[in-house]
Amino acid sequence: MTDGVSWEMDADLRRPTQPANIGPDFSGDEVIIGLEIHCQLDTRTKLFCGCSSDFRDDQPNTHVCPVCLGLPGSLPRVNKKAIEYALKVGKALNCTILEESVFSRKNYFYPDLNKGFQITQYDKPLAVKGYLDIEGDSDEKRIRITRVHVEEDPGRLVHKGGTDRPKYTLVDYNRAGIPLIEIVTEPDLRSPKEARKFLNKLRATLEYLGVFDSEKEGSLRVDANISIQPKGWFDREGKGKEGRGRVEVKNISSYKGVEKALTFEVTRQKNALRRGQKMESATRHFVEARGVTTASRSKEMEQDYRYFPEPDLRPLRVREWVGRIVLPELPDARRERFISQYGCSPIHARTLTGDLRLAEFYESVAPIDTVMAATWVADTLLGELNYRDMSIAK
Amino acid sequence: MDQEILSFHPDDRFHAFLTTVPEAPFSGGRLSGFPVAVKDNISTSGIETTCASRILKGYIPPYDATVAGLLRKEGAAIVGKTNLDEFGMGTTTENSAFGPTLNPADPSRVPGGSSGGSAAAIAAGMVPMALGTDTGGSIRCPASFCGIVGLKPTYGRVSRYGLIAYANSLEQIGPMARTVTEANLLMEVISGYDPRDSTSIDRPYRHALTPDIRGVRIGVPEEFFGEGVDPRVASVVWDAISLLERKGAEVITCRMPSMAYALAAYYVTCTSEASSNLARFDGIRYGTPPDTKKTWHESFQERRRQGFGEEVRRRIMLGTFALSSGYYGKYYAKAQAARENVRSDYERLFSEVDVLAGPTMPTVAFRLGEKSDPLSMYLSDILTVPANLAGVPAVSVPCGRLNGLPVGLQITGRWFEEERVMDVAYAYEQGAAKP
Repeated sequence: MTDGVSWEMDADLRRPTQPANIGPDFSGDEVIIGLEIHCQLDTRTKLFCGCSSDFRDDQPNTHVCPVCLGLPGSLPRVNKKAIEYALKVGKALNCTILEESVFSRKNYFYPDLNKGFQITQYDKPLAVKGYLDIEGDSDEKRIRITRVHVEEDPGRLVHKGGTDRPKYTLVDYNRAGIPLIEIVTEPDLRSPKEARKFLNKLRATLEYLGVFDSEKEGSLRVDANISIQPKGWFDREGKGKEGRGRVEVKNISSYKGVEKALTFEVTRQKNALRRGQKMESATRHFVEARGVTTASRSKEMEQDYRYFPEPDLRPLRVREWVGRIVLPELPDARRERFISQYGCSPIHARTLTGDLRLAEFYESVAPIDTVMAATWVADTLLGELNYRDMSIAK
Repeated sequence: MDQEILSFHPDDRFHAFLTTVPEAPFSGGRLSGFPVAVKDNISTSGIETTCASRILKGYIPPYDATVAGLLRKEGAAIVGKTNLDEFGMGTTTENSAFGPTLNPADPSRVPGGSSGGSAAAIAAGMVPMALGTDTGGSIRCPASFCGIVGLKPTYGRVSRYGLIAYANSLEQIGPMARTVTEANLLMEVISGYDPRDSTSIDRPYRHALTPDIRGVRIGVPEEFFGEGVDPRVASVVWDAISLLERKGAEVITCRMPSMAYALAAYYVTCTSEASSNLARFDGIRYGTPPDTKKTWHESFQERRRQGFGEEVRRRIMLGTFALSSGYYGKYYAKAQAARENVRSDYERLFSEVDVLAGPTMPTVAFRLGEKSDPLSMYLSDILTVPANLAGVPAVSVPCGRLNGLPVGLQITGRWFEEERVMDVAYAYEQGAAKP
């Protein structure tokens, strides 16, 4: 998740304010985006120990034990609830659940990583090959899901005296061991806006499942892969073929941030192409406060994680669990129901069901007058909330 | 029974202990008042636990390993922490950052390793029993070299929670003692299911020893007496096997071809796991703090260079290499395949015989400094590593001497058949005492 790198602005890649109107025409290009999303699962305890995961208002290093501190000799044991939550996600995303899935160690050195490795999944994830339907730029669109796996969150570094040149850094292991799911999409998204819509739909799905709380700070982190290819090239050649270089943007931690970071990248890459520069594959870092991505300097990005199966955990055999899992009503089903039961317009139904809390609020006021309530909640209320940058939860 | 205090002031001429507890508390139970030593890679709450490494100097665990808790619950007095090869990596206890342990049978020789401190403490009469750990022979080798009893249990039968990992998929904590009877008692206390260890299996050990081994089929693989085994050691061990035959066992010669790959599979697996296990020692949380004026990468590299001994660094490098992308398939994956062969060899053999017998070690105890090149030291593990690769139980019981130096007889059994393995060892011990 966090890599041992430092970041610096490229001198020649300052924020592009205006597209340079020179060079060949790239209007025939298309944007190719794939996402890697990390969400904290909203379990009461951590992934491999009994420590409470409700740490946000507490002092650093108070929600810890020998296991999540990685003390010598301690051993992990799997939180079944976390696996159940992840299976729900896999099922809701229409994935194939693997009969046997394996935890692996991802080895790298970083101060927030108390064991010197992260317990994650590698060649045998929990779930593979699913999809999520979203409202695409033109019409309904199916975004393929590559995989869903479970892993532990590392600790958190607190830089004292500014983030640019901190005087010293403290480590808080309260977050260490919080269960995460990583959801990887195929490169099926074609614009920053589509990426944002995908994330909104995913968030809604996870919240309907009751496994995720988007209101919790730091509960979502996204890495995005983006490249600009000649139109049709990607669909013709497919993934893995050498086209123009692909940029991985790391450290995006909000829904709006994803669209912002990707929009910045589209402009930056288009400008670079217009200037005749060759797009090399690279890793960049999103600086939310400035709305820009900056180049990662370090070669550490190419590190070898030396994955191997975690010898302290037995393989997970989840087939029996899967059969017992019953999914609740998900956003698409509820949308259809709002249309048929309350007579909502398709647009209102989509808006209202796009957020679990909004949908529930609407259902609580719908008896007054279903259509008027829909207009009021979806247009008036939501508009006011958005204007104030607030969510219905608050 | 209220808590009492055992005063423990041993004359530790052989440097068996790294830490002693002069006023060791104990209470009632099956081990009430027994002084028990614990290898220093097993976490003991409130007692420094170093793994014989500079990098852990000063580390006092805030929690007890499951086995340490079980010892206390049965009334044992934990009187000290014993020396070992740093993190268990060695066959002589010379790789301790705090100096070697000497063999009480001959102080010019090594006690074997890596649980050399535990074996020496027992052989010198300082304690009747001790805990060791066995990754590739680390209980059985020193038991053999020091002339005591040491059992490596079936993988999963004793909890590893609190054992500071060297190679998780291979290692087990086990009992070491003067006699089979005492080892049996200690095994009863430390075995059992532990929900904190996901590899733990619910097969507690409760056993009344019997020396009656009539009809037990003992297999003797040719490979156990192959190249590198001192013929004089072989002769002592054959005499012991003959004694078992006279006691009514049936001796059958057999073959174990997978032995050819066992050592390589073992060293690839254990170094790979070790390279990852020891990554947590980066200077931030244990040992001397790093120089914070340097960058993160420089400072943790410096701390690791200074904090780990030569053999540990060698194994970290070997394991890092074996797991590297592009080499994983050639080494780690191959080693797991070889491991599977060892396992199926045991399965086949144990469908024909009840236990296997042979020497524990190819030689008697080495002189201090004799195994200076690592490869020749690795080769001496050939007879003990197969049991770890397959996870089967194996005991070493003293079976005579060669020029005054102890020789060990190794008995290996089926998964979860420690009972039979211990009976055969007991039959030998009793038979040798009353010929």
